[in-house]
Amino acid sequence: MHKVLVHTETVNNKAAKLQLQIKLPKDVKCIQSITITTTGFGTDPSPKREVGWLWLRLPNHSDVFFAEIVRSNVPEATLVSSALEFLPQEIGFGEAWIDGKSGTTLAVDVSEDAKILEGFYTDRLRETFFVPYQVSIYLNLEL
Amino acid sequence: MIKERFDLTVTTAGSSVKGEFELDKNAKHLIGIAITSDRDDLLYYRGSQKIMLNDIEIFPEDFESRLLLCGLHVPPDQRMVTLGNLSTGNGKLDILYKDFNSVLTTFSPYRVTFYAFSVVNLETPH
Repeated sequence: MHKVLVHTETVNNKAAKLQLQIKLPKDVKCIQSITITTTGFGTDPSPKREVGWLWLRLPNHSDVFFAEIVRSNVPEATLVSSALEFLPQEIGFGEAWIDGKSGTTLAVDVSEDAKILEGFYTDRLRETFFVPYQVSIYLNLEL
Repeated sequence: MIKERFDLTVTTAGSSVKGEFELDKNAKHLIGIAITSDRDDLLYYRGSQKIMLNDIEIFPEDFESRLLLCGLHVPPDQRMVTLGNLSTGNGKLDILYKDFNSVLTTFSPYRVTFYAFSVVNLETPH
């Protein structure tokens, strides 16, 4: 059985460093994939612009098992198989989406006594005028 | 294969719209869904939804619509998000669509359309 968990953090300040904890379901066995998206940019939503850094770790892994440079509008990794080929890379007003890319599945086993995913997110936007935005973490879990 | 269309209309910025739909009585297995809009840009930047089939959570709350969207370059045969073979039970499809404010878009009322693809018999080619 599979379950998707969505965790959203709001970044309110420039260069903010947010610590996060995500409680996993008791019966989770494996994290099959992780997807990160960002929303809410006020200026220049250009593709591949660096937005921030994300680290995630599990207690049963002695170190960080997932680190990602989060970029704006990069094709997202996928949570559902048929979504592989139709993720938009860039969208404008009335423009057709022209590109997309499949995500890479990352499988991480979760031990029985480790039910909290923890980590932190660092804002890396280099904008003169900062606009709060959201970072969403999607976890595709095997139960 | 049974193809059904369900529409929601978002009339207020930042609002949630709930829809309760019933799948065709002959549909026994829900195999996929698709999502479109008359304003794809608003759907992409502003939309998220929760989709439940009876008591089964297909997509959780705040699951962004852009992760389910489909571009023009995708072959029509591949434009459905597959769900496996979910038994439709009593066929109650609950959708909670949320519009959230984004400075990248200017709100105007828009339509969000969900397509459900189901089959009567899994053994029949579809």
